[in-house]
Amino acid sequence: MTIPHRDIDLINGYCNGSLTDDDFSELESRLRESHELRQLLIEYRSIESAMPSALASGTMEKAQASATKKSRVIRRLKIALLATAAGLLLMFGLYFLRPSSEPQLATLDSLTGSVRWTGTGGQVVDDVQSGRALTGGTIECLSVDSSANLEFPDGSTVTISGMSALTISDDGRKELHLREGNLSATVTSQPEGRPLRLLTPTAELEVLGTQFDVIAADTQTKITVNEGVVRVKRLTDGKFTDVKSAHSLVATIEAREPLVAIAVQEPIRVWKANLGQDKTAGDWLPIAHALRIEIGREIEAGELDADRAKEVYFKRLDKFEVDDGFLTAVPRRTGREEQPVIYLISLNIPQRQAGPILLSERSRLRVMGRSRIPQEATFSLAARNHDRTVAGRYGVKQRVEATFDIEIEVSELRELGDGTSAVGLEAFVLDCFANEPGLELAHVELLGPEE
Amino acid sequence: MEEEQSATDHEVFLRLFTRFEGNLRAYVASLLPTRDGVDDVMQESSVVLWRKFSDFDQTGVDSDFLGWAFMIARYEVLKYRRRRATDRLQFSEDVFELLASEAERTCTTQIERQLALHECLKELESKQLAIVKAVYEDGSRIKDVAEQIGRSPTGLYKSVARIRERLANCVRTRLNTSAEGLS
Repeated sequence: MTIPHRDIDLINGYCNGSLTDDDFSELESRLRESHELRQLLIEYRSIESAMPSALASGTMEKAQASATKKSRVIRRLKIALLATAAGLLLMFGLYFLRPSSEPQLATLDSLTGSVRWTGTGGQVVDDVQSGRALTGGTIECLSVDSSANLEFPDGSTVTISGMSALTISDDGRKELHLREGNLSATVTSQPEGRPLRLLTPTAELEVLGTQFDVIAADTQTKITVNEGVVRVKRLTDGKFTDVKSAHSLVATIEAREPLVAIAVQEPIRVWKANLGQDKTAGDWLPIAHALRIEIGREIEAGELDADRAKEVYFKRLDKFEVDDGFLTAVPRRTGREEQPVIYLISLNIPQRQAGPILLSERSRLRVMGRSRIPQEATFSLAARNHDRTVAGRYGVKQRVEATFDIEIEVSELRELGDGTSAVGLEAFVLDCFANEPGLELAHVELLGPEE
Repeated sequence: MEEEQSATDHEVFLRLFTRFEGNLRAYVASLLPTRDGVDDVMQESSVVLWRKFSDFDQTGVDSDFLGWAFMIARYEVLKYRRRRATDRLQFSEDVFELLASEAERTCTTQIERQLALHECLKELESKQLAIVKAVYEDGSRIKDVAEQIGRSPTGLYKSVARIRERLANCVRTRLNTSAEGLS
């Protein structure tokens, strides 16, 4: 049989375990077409599977001889019986006698705020302390000012911050599941063929050694690679691409757009939120729905004649953009006794931006919205240094009531722990939360110093 | 009486399993990319085969056992694939089915292939044999072997590929020769 060299290379790559995903796709396609190639693969794999026994000294001679000498067959069968019995015993024994202490996968190097640990045995530790050895399990940051820094034995570090939940495991390679939230990782060189795997609700990342950031929510994941290369697979359609250094990519659940990484651009100083798209916490009510509800209430209260409803609706709708609407705060547990639940709105600031958002001294945050009751709301930004190390969360409290339109100087934002300023940092998450329900945002914008 | 029957079953099962274990392993190896996967599936398959052995009709010829074992191993491979659905290098359903059907035919001659391979290994140069032993005896990954012997992984991948091709040609020739001798 004549098989092209390229096909033979692909088969060898498969047997060697050295195929890239693209090569593997090519091999699959060739295997579909070529009976000869399928035969070659089966032949190679059959030979490889026979190699250990063929290499064992004299194995074949024994096998041949045993075929003709019944006494040896019986002896071999007895040995095989014992071996099988021992194997089964070992299998069950290993299951029942497996050590109760799980291997240590990482150390909780440092933490801030409220952090919860749930180990593989299901034990929940709410007051987890830094320095704790972590086995397989889930670590959760329970409040917007929480963060947890994990260090792995190979020197890799992973930090989660804000409302985040991360499950760690190791099945011969590190596997992380980021259910939601923000993660920054510095991954040292991983063994070839065993890259670190990070799963989010919409993406799967394979990492051999690099520095990258991830923001994950139910419907989208943003990956920004600062050093090295990360392979990202969009889970909805299985498409994948390599994200290089200084590039970022958004993998959405809908998979309507091409999966393309874009170069990270110079920092920008102004930003306007698209609340419906950028939200990671909050209930989104498009303006059309909000107006219908508003008009319905007015009719019910006798303030508006039902015959004029349509006319009023379109008149009011004209004043809004198609992307307008209201983002309503949703309850979140904090893990704190004094305030067990807060009502939170969270936005990924650079979700659609190619570049980071630089916080300048005279920049201002303009926030418009409404609150059903007068109350204090905290507006905070998660921001980090240019070198991508997480710097912290910077916030300020403002009184809000009825319909509000406020401007907050960036210089007013102070680190929630030590009171340092956010000026000069790059923002990546905006949170707005209050102790009572009924807080809604309609507009969020960062205005530059000159505006 | 029941114990006697069970002991007989054991012996028959072990005779058949020992005889066809190599065929079964080759079949599973044709469908899975890693040795760990093959070991896992072989272990599961052996347990299932024994548990279901009372359902197997022992009155037929020995080769019936191999067909039955292929069927059970195929099911165990499918179970393994489902467990490892997100792994790389998992063939899609249609390619898997094509390979599974063809592997059944090819792997029936695995005993002859093993014998031929044993002879072909003797024809390798000592350096090549050392590589084969390093890679296949302990089941080490080629990358790790390359590190141990101070070679680049790419260089060793190529060497192993050349050896694999040489052994395959040798085995193919020997199998064809013995088939011609029989005809």
